[in-house]
Amino acid sequence: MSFVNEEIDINHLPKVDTLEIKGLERNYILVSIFGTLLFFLIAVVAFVSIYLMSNSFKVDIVFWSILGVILLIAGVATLLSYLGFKIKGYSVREKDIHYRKGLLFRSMISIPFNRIQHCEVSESFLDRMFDLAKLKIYTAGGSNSDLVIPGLPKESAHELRAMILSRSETKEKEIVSEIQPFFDEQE
Amino acid sequence: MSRNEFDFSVPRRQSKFAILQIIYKYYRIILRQIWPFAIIFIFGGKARGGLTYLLYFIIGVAIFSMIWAVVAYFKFYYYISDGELVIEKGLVQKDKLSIPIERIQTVNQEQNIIHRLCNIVKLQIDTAGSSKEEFSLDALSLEEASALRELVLSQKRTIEKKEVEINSELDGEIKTYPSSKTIHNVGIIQLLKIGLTENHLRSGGLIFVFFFWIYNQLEDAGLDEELYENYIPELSWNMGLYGILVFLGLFFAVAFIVSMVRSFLQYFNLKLKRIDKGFNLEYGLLNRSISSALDRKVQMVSWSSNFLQKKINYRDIYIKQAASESINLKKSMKIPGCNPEQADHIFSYFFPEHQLESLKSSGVNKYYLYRKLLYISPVLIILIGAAIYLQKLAFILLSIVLAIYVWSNIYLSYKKMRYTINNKIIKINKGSFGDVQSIIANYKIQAVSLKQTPFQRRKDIANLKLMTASGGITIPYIDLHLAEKYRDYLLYKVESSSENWM
Repeated sequence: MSFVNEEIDINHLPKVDTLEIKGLERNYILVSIFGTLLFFLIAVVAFVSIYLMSNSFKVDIVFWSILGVILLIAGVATLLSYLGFKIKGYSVREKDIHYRKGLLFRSMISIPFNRIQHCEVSESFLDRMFDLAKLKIYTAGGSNSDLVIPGLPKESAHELRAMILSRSETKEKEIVSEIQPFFDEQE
Repeated sequence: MSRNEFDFSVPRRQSKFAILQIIYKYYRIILRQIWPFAIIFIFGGKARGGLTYLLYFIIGVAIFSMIWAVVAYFKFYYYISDGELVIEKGLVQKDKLSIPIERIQTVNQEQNIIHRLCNIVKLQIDTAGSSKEEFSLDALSLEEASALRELVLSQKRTIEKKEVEINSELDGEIKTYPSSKTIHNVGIIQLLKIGLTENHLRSGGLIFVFFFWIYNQLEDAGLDEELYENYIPELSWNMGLYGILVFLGLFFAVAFIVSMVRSFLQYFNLKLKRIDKGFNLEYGLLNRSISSALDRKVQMVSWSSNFLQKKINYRDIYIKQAASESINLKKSMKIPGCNPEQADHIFSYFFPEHQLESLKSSGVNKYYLYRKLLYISPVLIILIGAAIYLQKLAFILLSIVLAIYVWSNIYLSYKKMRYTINNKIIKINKGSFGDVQSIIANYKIQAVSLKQTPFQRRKDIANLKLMTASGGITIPYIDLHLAEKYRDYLLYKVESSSENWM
């Protein structure tokens, strides 16, 4: 057998970085800010009640300074989740899906459809209030290579899921018997 | 079929020897729980009167667990029905575990010392799922075990007609492979060399933790420290350089012995065999472990060689198979004591030579070096400064040695970080005083991710992370446009490949 090791001109491959990133639904800003605030609200309530109870309901300078620090962190976290919204986004090609996130530590993960094991739509309590949903995509590569796209309109999340599943199945029809266990397990 | 004597459709008990095996198992568990208390009872100053009670207690527990073992044996059944392997067990709480046969991935055999004496085996049944519950038959006679395996195999075959090759993975047993060929065989001399070049620091660390733990336990039990204080030499910076050297010498001597014994027990009579489309590995003196790996299930192959191993040209080879996360560790096959030729030979089964002919390997951006130095250097300089300020010679020397070690470590790990991406494989070389090489085939990639810290964004560099079904590899600090090109290329390779990654 003669082996040909021709080099492919990688300059002419379809490029990911020129893709248009689709932002998340506008309402998702509210969801993420609400989520952050809710977390800190619980933290503040917990702190205030524990501190006051253990200090026989006396308020002093230590109390105010710790409360101040918590509120400051809450403010920064809220600001970050607001700014981070603009970075988050996804794009879908014929054969793969990409998701970008991270205001400071930027990351973009790409998953080919023919490596997707399982795909599901989930809604949290806050999501439901704004008619949003999350799309979760799982591969065999462990938790590091799983993908969650939040803040999608409910219908488009379901459409996207159906599209991804049809793409990943047509490609993998021959070996579907092997992938089956993974489907069974998570559904 | 010659093995029709076993009817697996009716509930069956394990081999009679299972009682022995269960007792052994219980005793081991009990011993593990009890021995610290025993030590405390014997040495702890305040509780000396409790010794006889302890003895009664131990005897009581021993008798009780013996009865328990017998009952457990009679309450344990396994059978096959409706294409499912079922285990029923439990005295107080009844458990019924079942697993569809087509979902069984591998069947591994294990033998500890009791197994070997009684001529029985433990069957470990592995599924693709991430279910954590152990599905194993503790004690089957050799014939029964192989009959069961054969049956599981043939049932699986009728379910998956297409995948004929899959059958071979269900077979860990050597005798069913007439074509098997021994590739690597560890003799006594090699075993000594493996022990000699173990990571002694790690063994030492283990002993350290162990003694520390015993000390804590003794203290909790009311050990009278002052009683023994006179016997223990004072350990402090005042004892000077000589004392530290003696201490270090002792530490390494003990660590050395521990790693020798450990590797001797673990890797005794190691045999690596090439079977039909896969590898079969068995080793162990007291606990013999047998495992197999099918070529197409293997996602990543690597070798590593630490500072000592490099001196005698030894490599540890790791063959990593696809697995769910909970059982990941078991799925990595480690083959110690291979020389470079053997390593190349094993690699050649996964990657034909022409694939390894690297076009060119590239290094990473120099910021990889600068950043690491920038983070760690202030700590080291402060440490040396403090040592000089305190004017303790031993402290000064130690901190300088530490600084030189850390700096050269960082420099070497920058120098040795090299990667190659060609149209078949991705190869990563790294290491500092030792060497590590990992290779994955392009089409085994599950996902590609490109990461940037704020600093990397300013400098237009990125980390490229490639995920496979048995872990990921990262190419750190490469130019952004290169990282993007590689991502596009690898995605193209994965998406255009019709090869089955598992």
